[in-house]
Amino acid sequence: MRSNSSSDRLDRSRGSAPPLRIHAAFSLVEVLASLFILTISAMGITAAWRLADYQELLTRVDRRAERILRQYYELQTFAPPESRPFTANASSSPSAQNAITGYLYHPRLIAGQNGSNPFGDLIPFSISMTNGAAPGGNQLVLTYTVPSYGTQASRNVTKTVVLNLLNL
Amino acid sequence: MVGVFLVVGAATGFLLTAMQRQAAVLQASALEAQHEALAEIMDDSIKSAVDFQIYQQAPSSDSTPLAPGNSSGDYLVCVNQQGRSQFHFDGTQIEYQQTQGKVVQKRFFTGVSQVSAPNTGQKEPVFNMYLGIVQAQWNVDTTVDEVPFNVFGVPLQMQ
Repeated sequence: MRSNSSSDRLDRSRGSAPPLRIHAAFSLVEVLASLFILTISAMGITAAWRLADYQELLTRVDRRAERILRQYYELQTFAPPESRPFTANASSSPSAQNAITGYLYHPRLIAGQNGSNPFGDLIPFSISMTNGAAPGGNQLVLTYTVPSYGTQASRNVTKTVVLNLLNL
Repeated sequence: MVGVFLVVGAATGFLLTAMQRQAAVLQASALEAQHEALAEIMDDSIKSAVDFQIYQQAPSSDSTPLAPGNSSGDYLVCVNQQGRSQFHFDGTQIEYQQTQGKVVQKRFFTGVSQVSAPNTGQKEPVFNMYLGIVQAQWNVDTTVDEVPFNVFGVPLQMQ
């Protein structure tokens, strides 16, 4: 707090006491208010940042899931029978075969966090084929789990593609 | 007054860091989208090819029919009714060259690394015919993650 009393300054300069030194400083209220504003700003920016990151990740993961489904559709449809990832089942009852698993997201890690591999594995997916006699019964089904965010719980996302019966 | 400047300065620094991070994510997303487009082009080129070959070395001539190639390599040449498409991995990027008559167009797709073999860890060529169909496999190393790409296709002459 500054002293603006000129008479006080005058009196002191006339007397034996040393003249007052004037300091420019923050009051406690100013410091607390600054900290409060800074904290609120940091929280707001971090929340917006995390939300944007999360939405971006969801979009990218969704595109990757579609791409992987398309790749397996191509393999299942056009590869020689012995090289296909799934075998068609002639039985009329729907059945799911052994699923193929993998990861949709490989984030770059901090150096040395995962040995020599600089990328991690997150958001697991599984892809399987369901057999059925009815039209559209043979399907490739890809499932992955969207990570939780804030109050939103994690949820499963399923994507399917119907296989052409002539190519099975 | 100084306190206000201090707060605004700190908040601005924080915001800039957040924006920098967001820019990196957008950059990664854009790079992935570019390679997705490349995968589409490759898929279309393979499926519509009336003649194709994979080479380990650069093809010596542009004549058709194409000279015999290899089962795997870093060059893929597809010839279809629109012209000739050539894909080449040069160690860091994939070069796509499309030739239609006398018009030659080139596009470069950066940030590419080879896929490692699961057993040996050895780097695999980008193009191969291992499952009896034409395949292309590569990784894209973005600023935030790694994105694997796989293209499977059967040319017209093999269908």
